[in-house]
Amino acid sequence: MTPRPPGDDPQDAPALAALSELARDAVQPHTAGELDQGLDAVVGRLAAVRVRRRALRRWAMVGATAAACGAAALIVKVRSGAREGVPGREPSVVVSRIEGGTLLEGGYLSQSGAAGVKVVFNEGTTFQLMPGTRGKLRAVERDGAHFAVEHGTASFGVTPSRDHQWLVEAGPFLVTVKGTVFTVSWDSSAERFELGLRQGHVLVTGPVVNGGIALRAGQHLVVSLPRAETVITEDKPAGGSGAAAPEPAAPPRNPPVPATSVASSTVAAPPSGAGPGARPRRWAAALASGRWDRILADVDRAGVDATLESAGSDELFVLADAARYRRRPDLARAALLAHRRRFPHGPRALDAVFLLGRVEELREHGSAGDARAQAIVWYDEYLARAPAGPYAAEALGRKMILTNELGGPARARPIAREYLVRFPTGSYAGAARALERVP
Amino acid sequence: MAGPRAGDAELARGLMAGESWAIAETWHRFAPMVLMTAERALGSRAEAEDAVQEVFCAVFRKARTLRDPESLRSFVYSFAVRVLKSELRRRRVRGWFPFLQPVTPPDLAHRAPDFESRDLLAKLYALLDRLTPRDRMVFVLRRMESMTVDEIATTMGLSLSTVKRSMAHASGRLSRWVQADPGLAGLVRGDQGGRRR
Repeated sequence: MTPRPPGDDPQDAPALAALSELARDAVQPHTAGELDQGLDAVVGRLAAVRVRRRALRRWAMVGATAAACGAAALIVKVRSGAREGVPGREPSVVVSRIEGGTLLEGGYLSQSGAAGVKVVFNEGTTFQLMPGTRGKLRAVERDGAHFAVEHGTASFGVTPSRDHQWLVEAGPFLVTVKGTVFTVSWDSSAERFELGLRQGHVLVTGPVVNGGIALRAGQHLVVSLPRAETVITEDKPAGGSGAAAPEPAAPPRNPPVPATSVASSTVAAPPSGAGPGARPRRWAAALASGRWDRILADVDRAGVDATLESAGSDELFVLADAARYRRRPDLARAALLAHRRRFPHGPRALDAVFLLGRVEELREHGSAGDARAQAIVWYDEYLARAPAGPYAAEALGRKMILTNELGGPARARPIAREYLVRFPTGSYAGAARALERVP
Repeated sequence: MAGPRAGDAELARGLMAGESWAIAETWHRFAPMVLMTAERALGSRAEAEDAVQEVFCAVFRKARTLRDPESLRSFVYSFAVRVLKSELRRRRVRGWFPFLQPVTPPDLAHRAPDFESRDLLAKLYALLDRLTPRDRMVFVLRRMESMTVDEIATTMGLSLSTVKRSMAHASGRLSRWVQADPGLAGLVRGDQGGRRR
């Protein structure tokens, strides 16, 4: 906005002018993380509105007869639900008691003992904050509650219900919950998010987890924001102990191909029912439910090379994601290289270049050689071919971090300056400013 | 696909076409400013964040109604002002009926660097609460956001004379209230000596 020209409006009392100035200066800009969180919330709200609108449009198309049928069906459903002991409409959610602490103004939970704080809701759901955890009950509404973990670890036991929805924020991540038992940790200083799911399923959205990750029982998600790394591991099923045990992936017909030998694996004939025609639908379902192992088992069964030659563009991305999440960076790399070779002008060709850089960074942990230098090569190619692409900020930020690690601040500083000019509110702006300050 | 280098017009066209990159870019380009304006207008960071989400949801939903892609910035700000005025109106109504949900106290005051400044800000927002939503918005945009009268008129959809009248009204009343409060005027005088950098 342009500066205020003098003399075109009334003169304030000096005290009022000073107060206005004080109010102006008291407001601090939001951090990049807070902005990203805000954007996620807006996108979530838009999606919810779209769903509501679609539903409304569908209803509008139904005539009076269909509406009457629907009403009749609803009545039948409610009655049968009541007969089965499932109420047609759940009672409102309210906090029934708080153990080991008190609820302060603004929703913060203050711990009074050394055993953490426990919030118990009327329908059986419990939130347990571990000692030293800072958390806030943001809202309690008729159909659930919204809780925020600002720092530390909290466990949640959510009673399953079709009518209730529970939201748990942990730093910039949002966990959407139905009925489940899980533990969430957020380390605000290390910017590390961790979720261990014992029962049910949840959807995690936030930075790095593009579009959200669906987790199922027994899975453990760790996201490191500074490394932009997402890893999902799976607990071993505890001797068939009921619903909490994860559903095992189908056993591979051939032994799994070691990740380090992906490129030279043998081609096996695809078994019946596992051909390319059946695969997209199955993989889409596996992706939506977080069954990454099912995808990888399919690949192992059909043979890596055969899959890489027959899979479509989107399938190769699904495979690369599954392999990344399950720490098989060589398989992820092979899938992305196959995509690059087979779909060089496809709509996702540039995405593959960026993700190759990410995968090279993952390889650093398990392989010798300087994968970081190769990652920079991929980021450079992406930035050259898509200077304003959707991953440009991320590519430039990662390049800056890796250059600093490999060549020191002097070499990284020009990249930091470029980053701040191009993406002053980007995720790596803090790191870029810190680099500029290093002598 | 465009991105951070896209001009406002290109960004607006991306929004109108429903491009996902345009949503993220619009947010990152305008949300920081709108958040600060909202926080100054409402005196609360939490309420500002809620209001700004509402603003951008409306902007993204109504993007197709934007007639001139060059005026994306004004488009965003006009939604912001509308949402903020409506929030201020809701607050006034809640203030008339104490049995309704309580009015959130301003948390902006807690961000001030020292005790005296916090006290001053709490008093300022108590005075702002006595203004009508329109006068308050005009005052905030003029004095805290340093917008020109022309810009305020465009953003708020008012005539120049209405903006000037509203500003004179807000400024006159606030000045009178500040001067009539000896503690406040004294604090400001002391503050000017001690707080100013």
